[in-house]
Amino acid sequence: MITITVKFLGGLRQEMGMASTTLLLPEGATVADLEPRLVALGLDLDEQKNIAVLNQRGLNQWPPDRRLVSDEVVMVFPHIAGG
Amino acid sequence: MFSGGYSGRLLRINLTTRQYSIETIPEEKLHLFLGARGLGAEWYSREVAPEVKPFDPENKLAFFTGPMTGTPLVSTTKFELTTKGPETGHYLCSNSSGNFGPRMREAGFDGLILEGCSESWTAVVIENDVVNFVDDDGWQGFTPMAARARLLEQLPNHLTKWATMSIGAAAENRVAFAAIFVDDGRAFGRGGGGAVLASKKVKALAVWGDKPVPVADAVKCKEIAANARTDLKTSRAKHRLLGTSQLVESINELGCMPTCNFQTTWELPEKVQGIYAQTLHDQYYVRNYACYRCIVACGQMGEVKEGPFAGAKARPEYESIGLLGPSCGINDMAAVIAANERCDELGMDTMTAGNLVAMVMELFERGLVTAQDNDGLEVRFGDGQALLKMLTYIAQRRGLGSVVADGALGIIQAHPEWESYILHSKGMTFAAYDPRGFHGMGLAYATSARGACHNVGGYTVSEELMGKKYDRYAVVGKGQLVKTLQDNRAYIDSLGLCTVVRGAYKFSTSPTSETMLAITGYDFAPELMMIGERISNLERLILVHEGIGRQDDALPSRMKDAVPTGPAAGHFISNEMLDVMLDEYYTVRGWDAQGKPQAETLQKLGLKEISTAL
Repeated sequence: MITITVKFLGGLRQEMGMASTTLLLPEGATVADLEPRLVALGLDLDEQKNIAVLNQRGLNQWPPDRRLVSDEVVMVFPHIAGG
Repeated sequence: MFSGGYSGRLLRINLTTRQYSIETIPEEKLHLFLGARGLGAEWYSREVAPEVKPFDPENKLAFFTGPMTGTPLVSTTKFELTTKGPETGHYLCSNSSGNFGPRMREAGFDGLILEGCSESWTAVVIENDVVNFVDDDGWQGFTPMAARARLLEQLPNHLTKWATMSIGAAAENRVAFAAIFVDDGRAFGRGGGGAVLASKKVKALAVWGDKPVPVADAVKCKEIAANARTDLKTSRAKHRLLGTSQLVESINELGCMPTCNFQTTWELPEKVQGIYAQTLHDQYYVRNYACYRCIVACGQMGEVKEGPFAGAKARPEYESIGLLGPSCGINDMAAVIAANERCDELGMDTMTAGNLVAMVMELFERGLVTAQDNDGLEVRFGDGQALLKMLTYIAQRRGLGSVVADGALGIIQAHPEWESYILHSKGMTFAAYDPRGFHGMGLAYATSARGACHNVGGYTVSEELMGKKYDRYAVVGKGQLVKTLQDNRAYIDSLGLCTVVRGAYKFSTSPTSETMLAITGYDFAPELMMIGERISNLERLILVHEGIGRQDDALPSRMKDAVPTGPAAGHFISNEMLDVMLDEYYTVRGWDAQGKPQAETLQKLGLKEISTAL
């Protein structure tokens, strides 16, 4: 199995009730497999609301068929512009 | 053409003669430049000559509202200041929230011009079509809030009806980044508009009126407002809950956080959590703060209840936290709140103040200055008490503050050897994003019409993370991105609407017709992006006329150094990389290789006549 850490930043930590969680995905799982698992956690991935980042790049900037590797990190945080 | 959205009236006040007049703004100009920032740029191009210096009596200040300002829709609070600013010595546009813009509309004005200089310290009081002056030499040194209170005490029904602008001691001492405060907490923060107002001996203004703000279709406006409220309750819920401060965590985790004067772009999360939004909320939160007709109420009022900064109160936004916090090596929210409060009391921009104190801290760390150079005060990274004292020194022009008060350009003139420690473009210091983490921000800072600014320049971070065609560390493609963001922002800044809520009205790069039709009776939507482009080009024309060219679309030398730690480690922006971005940007803008708008571009945008007149 592949272990992916999901970190919730900013207001999402309070909304999710935790700072992070772990997803277990089968060997060979790809970036395309990740999004439904994040949504299943209760995350709204509408880009106007939240931004999901895998290894420092936007989730949808990766090729969908790119294979995930254990211990990779996803960060999700609210879409907020500077003030 | 318009059945609402504008009164078409402009109030011009001569502070020297104390005469005032009411002028008509031609409908064609409203159509071409929309309002607020657009009208301000058009006005500036005619009335503020290139040779005029910021504190010359010939400099003027204009405040323009947009067609949405003060209408019954949600968050219609914004209005724009245009002047020649002391921080850059060039064209300055700056917007603010608060009630003053809406009250201007209720007094029947879309624009207010201040020209000349008062002989004695005064306040300008506008009540519908009547202007009065309240002379008062006793309020020099007052904080902006104290000046506001002192003026309101002298006005009828002072608790309910007046909106105000006011300045503090920093402005009186001509600090190049002194702000103009609006009502009890919002501000024209950047660029030094407060010092220009002080040069005219205006300590405060008040406005009130009882005219309805004209809209074309009041029933439709009511329906749009109801829909926007529904949308914002969910779409901006986290904005309301924690405000912009929740960017601290993500920007640090992305390796973009200014840390110790941009020497690096990341700090250990266990340290930075001292200034997280959650820390502000759990330990210091008092209440939310809302601007005019805003249900988001994103302002987070914080109060320090114990410890060395006990009693301090402020509403720190992300930029203030980043630049008074990590950039000064400080990860203590109590110190940040106290420093934010001190800036508010002195009447200074928190962003430039934070940047320049961080520079002083680096000078101390490198042994380039000592306490002897600074009237006995040592200022080192992480020292919150020293930060507060240094802010006061700047406003008082004491110690190194006597040089720092003149802003980046003044410091460089006095101490060219310190230039590499000042993070700025065209004299305006950086916002709280290090472009080495998102290269588009570098182009945004370099080309912004008012110097390094994340708003006017374009906030690329979201697109560089979400756009499929973008790589945050690539330079190709950033020219088109920055142009689009700048033009989008230019029209939004001209509407009189807070950018936080723009999604609720579909004011994207492909705006829908509904809202502007309801307000003005005219279908602006197909033209809005071109209006934004027209404004961007007019601002560039102005800058070119003031001597700005490619050589000024630059980044400080520190950007060429590789980031030493954190997620962006190893990344940098060389001159060659910036050149690639500039070449692409100039091409998509229709400018020549020196950054001057070409004749066909001006023709396309209807700017040929203005260009000829300049």
